[in-house]
This record gives sequence, C-alpha cells and structure tokens, in this order.
Amino acid sequence: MDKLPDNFVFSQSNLQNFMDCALRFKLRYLERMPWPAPFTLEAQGFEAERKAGDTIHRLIRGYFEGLDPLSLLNNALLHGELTEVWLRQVMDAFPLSESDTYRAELRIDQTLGGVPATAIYDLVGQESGKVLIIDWKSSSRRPNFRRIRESAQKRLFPLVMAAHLQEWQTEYSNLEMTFWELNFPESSFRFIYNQDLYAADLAWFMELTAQIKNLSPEGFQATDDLRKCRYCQYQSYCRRGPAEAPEAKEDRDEAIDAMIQAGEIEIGDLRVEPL
Amino acid sequence: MNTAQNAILQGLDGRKTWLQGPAGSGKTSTAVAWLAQRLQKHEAERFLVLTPQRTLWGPYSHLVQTLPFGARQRLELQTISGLSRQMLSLFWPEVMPLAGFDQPQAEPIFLTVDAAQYTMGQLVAPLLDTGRFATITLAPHRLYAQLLDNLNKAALVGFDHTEIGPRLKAAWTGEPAQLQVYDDVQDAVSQFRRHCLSQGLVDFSLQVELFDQVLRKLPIFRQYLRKRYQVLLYDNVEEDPPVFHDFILDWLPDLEEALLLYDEEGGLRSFLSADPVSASRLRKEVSSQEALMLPINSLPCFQKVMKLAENWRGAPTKLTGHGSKFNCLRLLPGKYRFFTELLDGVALEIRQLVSDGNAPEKIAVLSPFVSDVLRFALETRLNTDGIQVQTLRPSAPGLSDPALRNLTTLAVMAYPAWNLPLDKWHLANALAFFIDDLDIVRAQSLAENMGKDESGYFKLSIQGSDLPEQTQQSITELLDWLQGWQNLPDLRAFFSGIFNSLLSRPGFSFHEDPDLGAKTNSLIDSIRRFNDGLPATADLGGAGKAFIQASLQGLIFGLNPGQWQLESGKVLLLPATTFLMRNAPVDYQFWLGIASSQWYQRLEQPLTHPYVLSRNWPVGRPWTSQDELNLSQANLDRLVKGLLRRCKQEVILCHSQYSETGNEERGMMLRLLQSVLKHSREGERA
Repeated sequence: MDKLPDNFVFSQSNLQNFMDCALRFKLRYLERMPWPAPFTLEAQGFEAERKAGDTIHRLIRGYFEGLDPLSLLNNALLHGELTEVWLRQVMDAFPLSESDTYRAELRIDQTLGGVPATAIYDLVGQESGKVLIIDWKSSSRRPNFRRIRESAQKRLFPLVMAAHLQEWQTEYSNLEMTFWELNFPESSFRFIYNQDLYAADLAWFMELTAQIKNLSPEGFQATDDLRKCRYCQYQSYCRRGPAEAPEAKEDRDEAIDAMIQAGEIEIGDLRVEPL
Repeated sequence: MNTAQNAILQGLDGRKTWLQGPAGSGKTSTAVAWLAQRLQKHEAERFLVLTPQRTLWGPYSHLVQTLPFGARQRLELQTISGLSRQMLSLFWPEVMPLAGFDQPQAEPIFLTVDAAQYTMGQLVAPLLDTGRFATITLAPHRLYAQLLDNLNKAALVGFDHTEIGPRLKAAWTGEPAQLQVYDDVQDAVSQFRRHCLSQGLVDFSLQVELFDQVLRKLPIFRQYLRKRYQVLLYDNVEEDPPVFHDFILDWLPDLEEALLLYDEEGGLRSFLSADPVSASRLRKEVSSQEALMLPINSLPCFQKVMKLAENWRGAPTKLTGHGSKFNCLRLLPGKYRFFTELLDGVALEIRQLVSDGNAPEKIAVLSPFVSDVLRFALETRLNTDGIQVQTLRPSAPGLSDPALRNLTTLAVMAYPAWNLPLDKWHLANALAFFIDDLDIVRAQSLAENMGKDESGYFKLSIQGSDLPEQTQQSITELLDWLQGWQNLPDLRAFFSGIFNSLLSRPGFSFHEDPDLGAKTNSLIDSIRRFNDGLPATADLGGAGKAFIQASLQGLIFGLNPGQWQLESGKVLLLPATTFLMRNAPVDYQFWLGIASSQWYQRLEQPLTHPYVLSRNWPVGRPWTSQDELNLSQANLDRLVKGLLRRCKQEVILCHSQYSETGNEERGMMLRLLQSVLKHSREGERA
C-alpha cells in the first residue's frame, strides 16, 4: 500500500471509519478493496432503511428545488404513509417563500489548517441572519445523544461550514446545526456553534488527521473492540466473523449507531455510480 | 498549446463557441485550458462538462485533480444519459403522472441491460414457440439485444416505437420472408413497451423518451437547469444521438457560455445512433465558430499515409513484400500461415518493444473483435516474459470470467429445487478452481462419478481416492456447506455466505485474494441491480433462479469490476472501436488480421438496422447493396484515419494467410494497405 496521498480528502465517513477501525479505513479508502459484506437478515433490514432514507432525502431535495408540494406529497404516499408524514413534517417546518435561500445536497470542500476536508449537507439555509445546517435522520432507532456528540459528523460538518464562512468574511457565531430525527421529532438535536467549539473541533481534526497521515502501512491495525466488527464488510478478511464478535443488545445498538454515523448502513458497496 | 490553440483560447470567454477539427488537432486540450482558466474565476458548480461516454472524462478528471482544492467544488462531469436518469429520479413526482403508466409508480424502476434482456426473453419465448422469428438463427441473447436495440434507436432518434417494423420493412430489398420477421419484431417490441408501462419498468428507451418528451419540456426542469448550470462544455458532440442534440439546442439560449467540440472524422458510435449530421445543427446556434485543422504531436509520416489511404479505390489483392519506405507503418516481419503463428510473431515484436524500454500501456493490439481465444492466446505468449495484457470488452458476457462462471456453478449445486442443468465439465472446473491443490485432471475424474442424493444434492465419492487429506477435507467441506445451505431465497445471501464462511478460508482459492473478493462483490451487486429491475411482485427465489438462468444464457453483463478502466503497465488488447472511443493515443499499434472484412463491415443484425433507423435515412427509401458498399468504404476510411491519428510512433500491420476462424480473407483493408505500401515504394523510386 502506498502512503496516504497528500491530496486525500477527509470526510465524516472516512474519519468515523478510522475512529472505529484503522484497518477498515486502510482497506476501504487507501487500498479501495471491494469485499463482499456479510448478508444477514439484519443487513437486509439496513438495506430497507437505507432505501427509505434515500427516498425521503430525494423528496425533500425536490421540495427545496421547487417541485410542486402536492405532487411530492402524492408521490410520498405511494412510498408509504410514513414517508408522507416525514415529508409533511419538513414542509410544515420550512414553508417556502420567494425570499428563502435554502440549498439542498450542498457540498463544500474546505481546507482546514492546510488539510482538505469535505462535507455534503442535506440542507443549508439562511434564516433571520442565522446559517442553518440540517441533517435529516430517518433511522428507526431513537437517537443516541452520546454517540452523536462524539461522532465525526457532529464535529466536521459545522467546522467545515464555519471555516468556509470565515473565508468569505461571514460571521459564524450564528451557525446552528440540527440533527432532525424524522421518526422522533421530539428528540431532534440542535446546537449552536461558537468559537470554543470551533477551536476544539479544529484541534480534534488536526490531531486525528495527523495521526492518520503519520501511520505506517502496518500501523493501520484492526480495532480491539470486536463490537465494531459485527457489521463490518471485511469481517471475513480479518477472520472476525459473528462467532468472534458476539453481541449483547446494547452492543448491537452501539455497533449499528456507529455504522449510521459513518453513513455505512448500506451493505457493502451497494451504491451505484451514475452512468 | 500551439499558436492556433492560443488564438482560439483568447476569444472564448463569454461566448458560445463551436470548435471543430480532426482527432488529435488539440480541441480537447484547448477546452481543458479554457476550463482551467474559467475555474480560476468562477465557482465550479456553475459548470457542466458533458461527453457521450464516461471513458472520455479522462482529461477533465485530470484537470480536476490538478486544481487547487477549493476550486474542485462540484465540477460536474456527466453523460446526457446519466444526467437524464438522475433528473428523472429527482423530478419523478412531476414526470410520473405524464409518463403513461397503467398504475401510479412511486419511483422509476430502471432496468439494467441484463434485466431488460431477461424481461424481453420472457416475453419473446412464447412467440418463438409459435413459430415467430422462424427464419432467424441467432443466439437468444443476440436476439433480445437486437430487439431492445430497435427500441433504443427509436427513442434516441426520436420516432415512435410503433414505426420500427414499418421503417425496416420499407427499406428491405431482399427475400420477402424477411418482411414477416420485421412484423414479428414490431410485435415483440410493442409487447415489451406495454409490459414496462404496466409494471412500472423504465428500460433505457423509455428513460430516453421520458426525458425527451416529458421532462425537458417541464418549466420547473428548465428553471432548475438555469439555476444550476450557467456554463456548458460538451465534448465529442458528434458521438451523441439526435434527441440529445435536441435537448442541447433547446437549452443553449439559457446558457451564459458554451463550448461545443466536434470531431470532423467522428460518428464512431453511429451503430449506437451517434449522428454527426444532427450534431452540426448546434453549430448554427452558437455565437462563434472556430476550427483547428492541424494535428499536433503527430509524425508527418502519418499524414502521408493518410493522404494515400484517402485516395485509395481498389488495388492489388496480395501483399507482395515487407518493404515499406514509411517509418511509421510496416508489416510485421516474417510470413505467417496460421493465426497462431501470427500471434507468436506479434508477441516477439512486443517483447522487443518492451525490452527497448517502451511502456507496455503505450502498446495496443487492435482487432475488430477480441474473442476469449485471442485474449488467452496472447496472454499466454506474453505472460511468460512477465508482460501483462489487459482487455476491455464491455459487451462480453459476465460468465466469460472463470471465477464468476464457477461461482454460478456452486449456486446451481446449492439450489437443487431449481432443476438447473450442470454438466461434469463445469463441475470439474469449479472444483479445480475453488479447492487449493486440486488439478483439473483429478477434478474431472471426481466429476465423472458425480451423483445426486434423494434431495437432489450433488454427491462425489472421494473415499479411497489418492487425494491428499487436506484436499479431501476441503471438498467435503464444500459439499457439506452446499447441502447445509439454508436456501435463503435471496441469491445475494448465498454468494455472500459461501464467500465469507467458506471460500475466503485457508484451503480455498479465494483466501486472502482481493481480486476474487472484488469479483464476488460485483456479482452480488449485479444481482441486486437485476432484482431491482424486476416487478415488486417477483419473489426473491424466482429472481435468483432467473438471474442464474440469464447468466447461463449469456444475458448478464457488467460483472467485471472496473471493466472500463485501464491500468498502467499492461499491453492493451482492444476491439478497434473501443480503442477509438477511448480517444487515448498510444505509441505503437498492432493491427491484427488486416485481411478481415470485420474491420469495416456492418454487424450482421437481421432484426435491426442502425442506418435505416436514423434521422438521416428518408422513411421508405430502400437500402441497397450500393448503400452497403458505400457504408463499408466510409467505415474503413474513418477507421484507418481514426487509428492513425491516435498513434504516435508506429503502426505494425499483422497478417496471416488464414484468419482466427481459419478462413482465407482478402478484405478491403488489406487492399488499401497494400496500395499504401506499394505507393510508398514507388514514391521512393521516383
């Protein structure tokens, strides 16, 4: 394996994978090694959840692109009542007017202390002088606040946006990020970004990326926490099948949450590239 | 960048420009330089780069990598078919009510080529049983492919699919029996379209029609395009079909800037409805027109060869010697009777080039088609010297890969209830392939004694054999695993299961082999895409059996991961058209089998006709043998020029008395090249 290329772009997904298992990071992002994921009943459940997530993200994007709300709601109903409820929830919370400036599926590439980073936001908007980041969550499990707090996404998303705003001489003290739980709206999680958080997140990012860059190929070791292997696509490569990674109920939730945070609920490399 | 390119570059800003020239004249490099300049001043997300196929993204992808990180934001490289698919998904709630489906559809179910062929097969099989297509002898996958091709052409050219049969009939001048076949064609394609509309399936032809007739006319879509992109760079416009040009014609007035690149000798994909004449309409809608006429980085010698080739019409039919006064074109040294001997000569020459320090990826062996036999024969000859070969055969059936073929054999063994055939040869191959240290001779001997138990599972008697204990153990484990398989209906579970719990373990060939892991992964992914293209009512067991059946019939493609990507360090072995469409020059080209007429002749396609089903062919005009001859001549001209323009050092002509299939051929290409070589010698004497 070659050294980590200088232009390697860090994202919440690859950082979360490194935090979970350095070897998985190496196999997936440095060696780009496709490997068949275990195909369990639970994995099939993830797939259904991923499809539902893709659908609602697409419909919400359509809403912010200006598609007719009634057509969207009719279409959502064809997917199921839950999808319609989710979409209506978003439409009620964000009634659109001519003056609104929302951008759905916005990608921002930003260097942080000289290190390239990227974030793809579900929704970014400006409202009453505030910059809002919204991330739609459609998981069927209640959010785990501790895990969200520690996640790479929670740190990287506002950090990239704040740095981007700074570059454009825009104040970021009015930056807010919301993890919008479509299934549990009462548990949605919002936080206001500030200078202290920015400094702490930047330090975290620089330290973590430096650690990754300085690792020798042999340094990318498999995690000691076998719970992280439970749903990993490389478990047969590492010879860590279900027998080696037994689980308790709370471990299971922990492992699944970790995958969701890393954007990993799809099975293996199921995402299809555009033609 | 030369002076002409720089002069054009200065005048491009803020305009809509048409830039034309032959291949190798620097159009794309001018466009890349222009794009780089514009990206220094503007957000990349305002730009859209379009090419007819993704293999042409290379120079633009390379540019993206060299840009400062901040400027890389969202420079979008697309094909119009890719864009149409993404946009149909996004705008589906507005498109669907106008699409003509029998029932409202929550989302488009896009059919892969594999699933479309399978679906067509299901609909055509009953027709075959009643004697339809009786005069046609075609492998099933070719029959289905040609039927689908007709639908695609109707959509890409922009006429109703109900006109396919009548147009083909009106152009036919041969035996009257063929007219009935065209009626059968019309029935089959109309039935397929009705099936798609009733099941909510969107094959490629329907995708194009919905994009062309519904989506691009929606005001909301036009508004989206206006907001999303302001600058368009469209390379190789001549390789796209007419309805895509219609879309661009419609869109051009809304754009702030555009640069459209046209290859004067293009139309290489005309068998896929590419239409340079239609593309030329765009020229009239731009504010300026530029041309680059002179090839850059091309030896003057190639210009002379091209000139001679251009003037050729009929010539001697025998290659009379090896003398060539060109330093860029010569015959492979030696005289070859059989094709295998010719390959020996080619391998010898390649070895010499590589040992002289030439990079293997700068050497291309080109042939009208690349068969499994040719690939194997050349690989075998070169691998002994450590020279690797890579092929790109996008239309090769997936099961031509041994790993995938043998995995399929295991599925046949694991699902006895499906009653799928398994012969001893394939069983032996699978055993030898998966079990470490089991050679094919012993595997065949085991397969000879193959039997079945009362549940239909395959049995092998290994007791008393002289196989090593470890090998016996591995075979037993494999058979036990197959028998113990829980028969989960989803075939993906089977392949994932056998890979993860057995084949990746020590004693089996997939152990710690990333390539074989990647292939298994791609097989699982292909099954998912296939399943996605079946109606929601289809049960997974039926889908799994259907996938295996379709694979065995050669209907499954696109299984080889990274099949459109080339790696460095390997000699290329490519069909000539594939090489041309990649538009990536090499230093040395070997033209293999120059006496073959397959270089320029239209494919034998009794159910379709790419030139009759074109916007340029007047409806009702008969297609005559003279048209066929003209087409062959035009194809040959385009091919020879196209190849010469994409060669930097030398073309080596390779000829044997008997072709790969054992025929003695004397096609037009042989005569043309003989004439060129003869003139070179005469020119020298004069």
